[in-house]
Amino acid sequence: MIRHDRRPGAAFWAGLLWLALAACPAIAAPPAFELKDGDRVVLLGGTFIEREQSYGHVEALLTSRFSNRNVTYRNLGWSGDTVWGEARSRFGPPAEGFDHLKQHVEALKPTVIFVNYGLNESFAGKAGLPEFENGLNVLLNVLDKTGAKIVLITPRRLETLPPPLPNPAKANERLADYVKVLQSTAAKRGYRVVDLFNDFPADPKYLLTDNGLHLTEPGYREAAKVIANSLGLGVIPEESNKLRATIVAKNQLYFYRWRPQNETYLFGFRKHEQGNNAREIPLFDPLVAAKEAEIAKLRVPTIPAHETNRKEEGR
Amino acid sequence: MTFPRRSLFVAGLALALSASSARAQRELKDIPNTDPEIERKSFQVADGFEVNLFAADPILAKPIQMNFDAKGRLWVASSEVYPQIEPGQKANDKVVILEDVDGDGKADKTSVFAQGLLIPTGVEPGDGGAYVANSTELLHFKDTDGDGKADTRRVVLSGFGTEDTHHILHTLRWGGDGQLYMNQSIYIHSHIETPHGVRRLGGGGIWQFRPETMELDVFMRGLVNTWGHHVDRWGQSFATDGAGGEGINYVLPGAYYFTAPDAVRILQGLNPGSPKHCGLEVMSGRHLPESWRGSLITNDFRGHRVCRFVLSDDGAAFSSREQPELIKTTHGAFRPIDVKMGPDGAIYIADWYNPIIQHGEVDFRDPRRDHTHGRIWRVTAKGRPLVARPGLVDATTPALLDALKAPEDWTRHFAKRVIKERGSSVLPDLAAWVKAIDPADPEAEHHRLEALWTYQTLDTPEPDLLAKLLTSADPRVRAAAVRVVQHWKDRLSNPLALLAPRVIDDHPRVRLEAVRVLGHIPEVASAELAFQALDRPVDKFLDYAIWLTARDLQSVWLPALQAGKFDDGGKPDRLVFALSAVGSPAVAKPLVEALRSGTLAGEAQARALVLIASLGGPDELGMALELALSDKSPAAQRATLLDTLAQAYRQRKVTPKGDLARLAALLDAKDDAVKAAAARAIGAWRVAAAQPRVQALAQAKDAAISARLGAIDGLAALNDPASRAILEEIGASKGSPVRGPAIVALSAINLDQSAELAASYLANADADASVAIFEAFAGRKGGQMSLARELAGKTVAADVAKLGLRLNGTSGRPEPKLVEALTKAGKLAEATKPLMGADREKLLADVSLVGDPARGEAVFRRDALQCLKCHAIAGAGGQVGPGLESLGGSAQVDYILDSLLEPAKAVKENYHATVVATSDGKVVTGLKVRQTDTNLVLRDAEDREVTIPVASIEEQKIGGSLMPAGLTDQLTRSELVDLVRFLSELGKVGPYSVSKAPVARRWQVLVPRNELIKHLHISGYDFVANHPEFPWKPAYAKVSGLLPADDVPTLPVPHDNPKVSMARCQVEVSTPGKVRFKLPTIAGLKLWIDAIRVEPAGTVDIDLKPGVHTITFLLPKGGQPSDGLRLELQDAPGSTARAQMTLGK
Repeated sequence: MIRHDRRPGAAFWAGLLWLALAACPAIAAPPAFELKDGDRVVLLGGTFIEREQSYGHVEALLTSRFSNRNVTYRNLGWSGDTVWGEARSRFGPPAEGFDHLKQHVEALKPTVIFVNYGLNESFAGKAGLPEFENGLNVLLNVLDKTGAKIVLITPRRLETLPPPLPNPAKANERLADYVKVLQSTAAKRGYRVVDLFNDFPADPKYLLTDNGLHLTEPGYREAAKVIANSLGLGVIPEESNKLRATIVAKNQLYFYRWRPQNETYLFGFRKHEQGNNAREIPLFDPLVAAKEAEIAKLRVPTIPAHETNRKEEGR
Repeated sequence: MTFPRRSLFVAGLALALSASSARAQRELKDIPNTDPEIERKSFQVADGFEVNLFAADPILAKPIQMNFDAKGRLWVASSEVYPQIEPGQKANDKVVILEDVDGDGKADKTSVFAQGLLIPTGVEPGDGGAYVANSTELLHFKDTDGDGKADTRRVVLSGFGTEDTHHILHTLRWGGDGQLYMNQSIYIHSHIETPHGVRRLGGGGIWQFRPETMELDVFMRGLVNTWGHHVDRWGQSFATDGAGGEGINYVLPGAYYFTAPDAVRILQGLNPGSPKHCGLEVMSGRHLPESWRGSLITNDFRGHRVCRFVLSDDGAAFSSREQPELIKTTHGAFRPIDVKMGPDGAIYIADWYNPIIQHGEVDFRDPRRDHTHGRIWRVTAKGRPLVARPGLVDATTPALLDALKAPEDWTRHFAKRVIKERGSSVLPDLAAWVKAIDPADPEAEHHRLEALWTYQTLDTPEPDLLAKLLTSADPRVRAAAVRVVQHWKDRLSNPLALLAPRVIDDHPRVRLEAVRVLGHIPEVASAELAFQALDRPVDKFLDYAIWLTARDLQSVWLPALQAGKFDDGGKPDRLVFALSAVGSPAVAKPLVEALRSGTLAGEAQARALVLIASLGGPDELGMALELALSDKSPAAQRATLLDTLAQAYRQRKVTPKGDLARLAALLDAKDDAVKAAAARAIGAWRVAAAQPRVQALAQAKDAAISARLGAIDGLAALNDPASRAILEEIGASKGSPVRGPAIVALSAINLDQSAELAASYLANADADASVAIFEAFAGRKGGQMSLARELAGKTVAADVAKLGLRLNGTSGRPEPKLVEALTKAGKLAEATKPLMGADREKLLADVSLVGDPARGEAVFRRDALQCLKCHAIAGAGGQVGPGLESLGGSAQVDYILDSLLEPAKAVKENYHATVVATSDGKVVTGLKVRQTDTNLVLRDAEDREVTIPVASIEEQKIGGSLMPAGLTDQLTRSELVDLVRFLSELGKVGPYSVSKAPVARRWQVLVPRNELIKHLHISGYDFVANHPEFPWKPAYAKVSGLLPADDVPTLPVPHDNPKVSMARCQVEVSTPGKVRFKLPTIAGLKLWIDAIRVEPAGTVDIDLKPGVHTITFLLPKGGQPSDGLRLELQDAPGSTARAQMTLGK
């Protein structure tokens, strides 16, 4: 049986949940975020978004919260990506990456887009800020044209782990500047912001990452809660493992659909060789739809057996 | 001709045929019986070795990479999903562990360690589990309860590209330095987030990764399919390429190799013209015969061969020579792809087992693809005792440290891995162990080096030991220690002081390593130190290292230099080297200052001037112009400067300061090259005052043609009515030797008008004279169409029409109207109809039934087919198309036939044409050689490198094949059958497998011309052999290595002299000394080595200096018959000389 490393005990979760509740600001919160029937949600960003697809916590949490609504989720995360779409260029010049990003988003006709950028860009330090701000706005202008509601998710603070991993103090200083740009941009453009940089528990008693940068499975579980809280969704019962597993399976199929292997031969400059097999790729669509039908059945809120599960795990 | 393949598999064939449909029968011919014993018996094994089956399907299927762990268990990554997951298919690929518990050489315990994977292409045990390359991710699995199955899974890195599943992350391997090395191939674009920032690699290369710190870097860039990497006993890395053709590649840290993205300059492999290889391992240990230790084993998976190379020192790097195979076979499914030494001292070979190995060229769903078989073979030396398996995991730390003294690389490697897992608690024992090394032990220095690497593996700097090894008496130890400085640089008190003496070390490899490490320390002093290496002899590898470091550090030293704060040690030629390495406009001013200081002389001065002219602003260019105008400057330099200055205007629109009208005087210069260059420069800058003089020169019938050509270019650039009128006049004047060039020049100005002139010119031209015309029109938007229009109703020679068709075909954008016009004008037969259906099936069947490869080779070598113009065999021939030496080993017969008939149908990776349209209306088509921020370099169909300024590119796209269709139209059916048969035999075991012996394959033969008679009469053969003026043309040896006598043209000789012919080849010497040539014994053969007559004999030993040497033969014709010439390079006994035969076109 495969399980994931460094899974913390459930006591942590209970504690953290409590902490998150306690930290709820007393000031007037914006109206709660809502997903409507028929919404098409796109998640866009770098590794944080890309890996969410194989943990599924954020998606499962939103699915459970709006369990009576048909909402589709499409994860367009790409490791190493930036507001310029750098990771998506493949054989073309870097600018082509941005075109790909645009095409991928537009094809999905999203109604809601969660956008998570700024971490990779932040390694350029203060000197890179103007270029980042400009790139961010260019990206958001493009996303705005889809008519979708946009939510910015800031990168999370890098976690301090013992040497020989690097001390992230400097990286976090740099990142703080980029988070400010994200916040001010969101304010100017009237977007909601999920501030993982500031709202994530500052000093958790356990590790959320294994390299300082990327969340582990429990880290994602926590991130999902911070996101829900920040969106004014209150405390959502934790989703069932079956639901989450089905979401992950759906995401896997969708990954084969939108980022197929051998793209060079199926769609690229060698398509004269294997382009005939490109016909297989849309065949993932009905498989994705079938998984979504399963999700629709599973998402009916069940009063969670997980409460008891968690206790058992914790002991 | 025998057909061993058929007799071998006749049993399996009969079975298969009876069970299959008629449709599939042709395909089944290539599917061997899957019985491992039948496969094993087909192996031809090197003398003294034997092979046994270690493991086979069904316990493993499709092994891709294997690695041992410290317990001696073999971990295998395998994929049944490859090449592409199907909708609805579950990704369930596996990593299996094979264990030989009782030590009988056969796996007797298997566990599926991890499953649910998608095309895992690499596995490397370590850190309490195993790292697995799983498409976009590098995973780490752990087995926490010891049941042989992973129970935790962690994503370590993600963002590896998957644009091609035979290129994805692979070849995982620990270095002796404790870093995990990982390879990716050409189409992969990876974007990896680490706590140190994002790391990107778009293309082939090797990554270097330290998991505990998450430090990730690119160790080298390039190679097509970087499928092998191994680190030798002294810490030097070597790599193989599954699609390049240069054999063993010495890996210079940070260097760029074939196909590297953004490469300005690339390094080549050690065995150009070699087949492609997969996997790589250095042989070591007591089980193997002494002569095999240190050999490199890799796999020619196309040719079903396990190959052996022997390395030797060659200056800063190495030379490599191929030896007879360890295993070869005609079994069509034996696909050796990985090789490892085992804990028992035996050699283990992973056999992917598949009749189909093509990735893109054969349909992903082709039923001939095997998804279920796979073998691990074990090779042992007969009659030699095995090595006792070292018990490392349970050993005490002192015993583990003593294992670092073992002669087996395997044992030392895994001892370090176990120490790593024990962690820093071993440090006191390690210190004591180092102290106790017996200085009298002949291996003492190597033991200390192992200790240094152990400290590095533990990531714990040990400056005292490092300092000691940096001054070791053994240069290999010094070189390895220098590399450690790079990794500890931030934790050493003064790394530069440690490196300073090593930059001027007595051994070039130590200097090279030091120069490269300095590239990682971004300080002005690093650059000042690195450039000191230029004061000692510099070979091509060291030159590359200094060049690379100069570029790596340019953001540091260039500003210092501009601020007057750079110390060049009073040796401005160091500066010229560094500035030319950088090639940015910022270098012009410091170069001018170096020139003014008067300290530059000779070549350094010439180099500086050209750099200034190509990079400077108006002031610097003005200075270069003064030198070009001065008749005190040598003529060649004046011409080069003028051309470079004119180029600066064309590419950058920079004009030199000063009175340009003075150029007119140069049109009277004595030297024609100066005249021509001046005329071109006048044109580029539109010097109105000099216009009439250029016009006069263009028309001057008594002037040298080269000067008139310059004037014609000048007129085209001037492009005023008078100049155009003159071009038109010349373009219409029959018999003028510059008529063609005038038409070409005009095509850039007025396409339609020049097309009209061209059509009438072609009507009377021969093929040679029409090349430039067709190229000019193919190179302009709408050019081919204009030409087609004007050719209507005209008649041209058949050869001219054929040439036009070929050049139209290689343009990347063939114009059907031009095909039609040329076919009519040349009265050619219509193109053959495509071969379809039953005709095609019958022809394919005939290839193996009646095809004759010997006749096919003769067809292949015909001038008319021009195969060798673009394709090399074993490196000899054109470089436009893929080398063909192992074609038959990988490609199915139907693929070969299709490639001949419809070249665009399947194009080999890296051989897609790039089509570029430029802002001045030109269209350039060719293979991308390299691209930087400023220039794109393409290799066109004529094998020329064409440089295009990036700024002038309007559109750039990937096109099809450069190979024209219809090349085989002129062949009879049986000739085509023979040709396909020959190509399908290339690389298979047999007479069409390229021999390992380094023979001369690229020749030149003297072209018979009547004026030769006079020269031979007056000056004799010595003069002809060494005079550069005579026309020689390329010729190539047959696959066997023989240059047939019939392919060397008979020369016109004074009437009563015996008939003769002449041929020559070249050898490049890298380390000087005595070189031996093995020659045929032919009566009357004469031999020159460079200008020296040498008495020919069966073997000729001669001392040669570094550089290229020409070996010229006079071969008597008639009288005594001879097969032809064969020259083999051999090692002269006791000599340290290193030499290679020159290859290429």
